[in-house]
Amino acid sequence: MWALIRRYPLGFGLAAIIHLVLVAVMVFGLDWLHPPKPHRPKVQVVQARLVDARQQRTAHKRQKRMKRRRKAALERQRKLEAARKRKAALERKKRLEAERRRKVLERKKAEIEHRRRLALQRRAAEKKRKAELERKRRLEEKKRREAEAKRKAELERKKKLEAERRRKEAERKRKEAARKRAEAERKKREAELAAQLQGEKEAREREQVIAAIKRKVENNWIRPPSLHGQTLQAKVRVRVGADGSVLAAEVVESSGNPAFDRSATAAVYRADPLPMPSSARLVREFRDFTFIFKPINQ
Amino acid sequence: MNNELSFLQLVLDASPLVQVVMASLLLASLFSWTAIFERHHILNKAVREADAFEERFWSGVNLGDLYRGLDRKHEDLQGMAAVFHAGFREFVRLRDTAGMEPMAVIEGTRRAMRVAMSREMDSLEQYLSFLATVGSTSPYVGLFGTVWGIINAFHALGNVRQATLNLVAPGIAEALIATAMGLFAAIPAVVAYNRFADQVQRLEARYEDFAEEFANILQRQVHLMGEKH
Repeated sequence: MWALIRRYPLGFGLAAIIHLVLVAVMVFGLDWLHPPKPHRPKVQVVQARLVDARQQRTAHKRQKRMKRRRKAALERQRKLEAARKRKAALERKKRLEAERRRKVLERKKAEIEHRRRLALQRRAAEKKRKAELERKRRLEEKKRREAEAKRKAELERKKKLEAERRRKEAERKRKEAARKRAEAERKKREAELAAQLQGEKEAREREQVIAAIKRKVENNWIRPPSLHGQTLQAKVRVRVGADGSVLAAEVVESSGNPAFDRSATAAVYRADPLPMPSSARLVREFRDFTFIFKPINQ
Repeated sequence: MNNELSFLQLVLDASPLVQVVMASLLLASLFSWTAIFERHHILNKAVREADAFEERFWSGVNLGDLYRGLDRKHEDLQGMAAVFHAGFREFVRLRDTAGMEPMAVIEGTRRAMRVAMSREMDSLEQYLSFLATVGSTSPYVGLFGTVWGIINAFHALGNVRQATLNLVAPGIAEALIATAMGLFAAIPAVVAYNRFADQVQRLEARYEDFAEEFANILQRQVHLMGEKH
């Protein structure tokens, strides 16, 4: 901005003049709205009459004399009047003063009286208010105490009820637990029994199936001619399909006689399909089993 | 005018913040008027110079002579003369460079003139943004002073039991002075800004036209030279 002023000082001067003029107009010039009243000069109009000079002089003298006399009389009268007036004024003043004092005194008295009465009233009111307050306070206190007692009784009752409820609840829970325990016990026993029964049944079935398999294999056995009355036995491992069809048969423990071993596996193949147990669990057991092949009628 | 509501009294009695607002507005007004006078002077000078230069340029004077005449005082060239000077200097330089294409010469000249023109525009547009700022903000500043003053007036009113017009009137009158000052600063600034912006735009158009025409003349000359070779 200073650069602007330096660049063109004339502009700044003009701007400053404009503002100064404006401010001056604002400060001094607002009286334009009320044009000043033209003041009228006071002119005394003289009334004159043309008169003869001599006549005028004598008349003048007479006039002067009369004037003097009148003046003296006036003076006297004025003095008397002034003395009277002074006196009257003094008296009036005194009277007024006395009156004023009396009034002030009276006003003061009334004021004091008024204040005293006010104070009394205030005190009485205060007392009444206090008594009222006290009464209220007592009432309040009593109410409060009663409420407190009631509240306590209520609390007590509630507590008792609560304790009772809890006791009952505990009892119920205990009974429930006992019942559950007994139930569980019973179930367990039953399950054990069932398992036992199942186990027995399975064992029986297994025996039956093994006997049946053995029987069928033995029935299908063709005795090799090279056997001479010896009693031979071989361990045979068999793998079976789900329907009892023989998938593979091999001798895992030889009898010592290869012809007998071969006849054993042949008998197994011939016995296809092998009898299978009815329950799926046992079938799984029998999918791959090993048995000792030992025909009785050798 | 009654004594209690005189202008000076109102200003002196205002709260300090309102006084600060008034002072800043007065300052803004002062500077904006200074800027108005300065821009008026500068822009009128630029128009006059452009007129004179165009007359001289189209009077059929030898361009080389014109250039040499200008080159002697090329430090303080302004306006159209500066554009012409920049363009011609670049033209002479490029023409004397060996192996310059005619089109490249003209292109370089145009560029030099564009640069000079943008510099001229910049100097013409100086302080216009200041005027725009004063024009748009000072009413708000004044309004702020007024609002503050009125808040104070009503605040004082809240403390008395019986509110009379006499109690508020001075406060409000004093506050309204701030708005008046804001408007007083803003109105000339806005008017001047619009006028100057228009003038600058016209000058810019003239410079551009001149630059194009000058480039055309130079192009013709370059082609003539090419045919001679």
